[in-house]
Amino acid sequence: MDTDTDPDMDLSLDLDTLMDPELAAQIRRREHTLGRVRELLIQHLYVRREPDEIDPDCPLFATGLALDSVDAVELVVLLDTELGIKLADEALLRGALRTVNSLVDLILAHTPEPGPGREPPRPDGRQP
Amino acid sequence: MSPALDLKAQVEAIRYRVALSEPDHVACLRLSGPGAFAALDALCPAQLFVRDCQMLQTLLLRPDGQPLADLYVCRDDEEFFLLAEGPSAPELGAFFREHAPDPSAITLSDLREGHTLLTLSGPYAWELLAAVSTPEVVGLPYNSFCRLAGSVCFRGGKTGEYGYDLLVPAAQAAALRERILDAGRAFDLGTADLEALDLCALENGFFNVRSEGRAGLDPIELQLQWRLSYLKDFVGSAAIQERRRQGVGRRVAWVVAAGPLAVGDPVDYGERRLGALVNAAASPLLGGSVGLAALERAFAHPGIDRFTATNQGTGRAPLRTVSPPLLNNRSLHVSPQRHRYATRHEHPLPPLFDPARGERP
Repeated sequence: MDTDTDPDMDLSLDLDTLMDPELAAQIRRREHTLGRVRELLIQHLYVRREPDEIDPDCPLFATGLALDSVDAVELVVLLDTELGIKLADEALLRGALRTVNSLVDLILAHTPEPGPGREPPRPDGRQP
Repeated sequence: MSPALDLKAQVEAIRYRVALSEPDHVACLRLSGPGAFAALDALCPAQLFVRDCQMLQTLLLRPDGQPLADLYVCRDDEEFFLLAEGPSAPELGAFFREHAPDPSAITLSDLREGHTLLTLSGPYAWELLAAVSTPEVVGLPYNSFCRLAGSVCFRGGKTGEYGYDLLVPAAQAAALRERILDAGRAFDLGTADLEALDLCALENGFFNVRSEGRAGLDPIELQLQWRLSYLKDFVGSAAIQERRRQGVGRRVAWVVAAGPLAVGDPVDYGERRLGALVNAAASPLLGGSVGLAALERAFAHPGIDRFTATNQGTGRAPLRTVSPPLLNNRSLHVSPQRHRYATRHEHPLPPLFDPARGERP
């Protein structure tokens, strides 16, 4: 992941000075997942955008990133192979695959919250 | 038109059935002439990869990079239909004359002089439209257009539901409106005004150039970078490139609250001022208020319930940031191959709101 062009990852360096630790941990977890989704879109679905161009509430299909039905299948496979999330409920998928953020919501909902000392790594490698 | 419905009834028509609107706020123009493509390419921030009969959703920006228009570019062979919200047709004409590489090589015609725009929105809009036109219209792909007996039918929409804009010659408009109202009785057709359309757009995360588009925000802050390309020059590109290089400090985030919200209400985290609301409305179906806040970027994420908004009338109250769309649109699940309005009760759909997602205040 090229953090030089991911503004949210850059910002997460300063979270501890801006807010209380609990909120900082919540946002850092979200930013980490957002960065992972951007990486999947660029590296596996060949979205020809820099990470900072992929806005969190950008639509995934039709408009927005203009993904198609083949990409939708690929996304479902990626959720399984890259993140261990298996989804069989078509209605749930339709709701989740609407924007980058709704995909992040889905991933966070299926990922256990990290316990103390197991928070996502900071971009600079230091412990949160 | 039928008697005016209250806001809740209008939104229910859009969300559950079909609503008819006459959107006077949309400018409809036709761009022609040997310099048409070159003019659009110079003004439009997106790459003009748009085939015949396709619609491209993009923007027009001022030289300072702020939005001028929310624009559909609709390619019609070597000419273009332009559906624009924001500026009037004369203002768009002036913008093209000022910025097109060769203004003498283009002709911009105001189609609202001699045409009426009728809009059908709702999960069964396709079925009503087929009943008053031709069954083939059901197969019209999203973001494309076709001709229907002298009219032009654009399939777009900014409500999250099926949406069709019909550009009808003025002489035919009254007869078509009557046919829609007549056939619409079988669909419990409602009407929707601009307030209802804007509320549905806000609930679904669509950009409103008349609200947040006039709040002094650029496309990066508005999360509209997908509508532009950094690989071309256009009016406003230098300003946008510079903003990107410097890094923007704000970003919009959608919010919900149990109480009233209003544009301008400050949003705080404890004693820290994070920003303010740039769009807000009461949402009868959500059961509270929905808004769009321009916040310090570090805080502009969904799923946070630690912020407050201070409303002039009701004081300080909590709000929650959320991911749009805020609801599970019926149109996501209604299929023209499987569903009919008359037999809708035989095909139960998922709930409009998913309690697990927490969109409701």
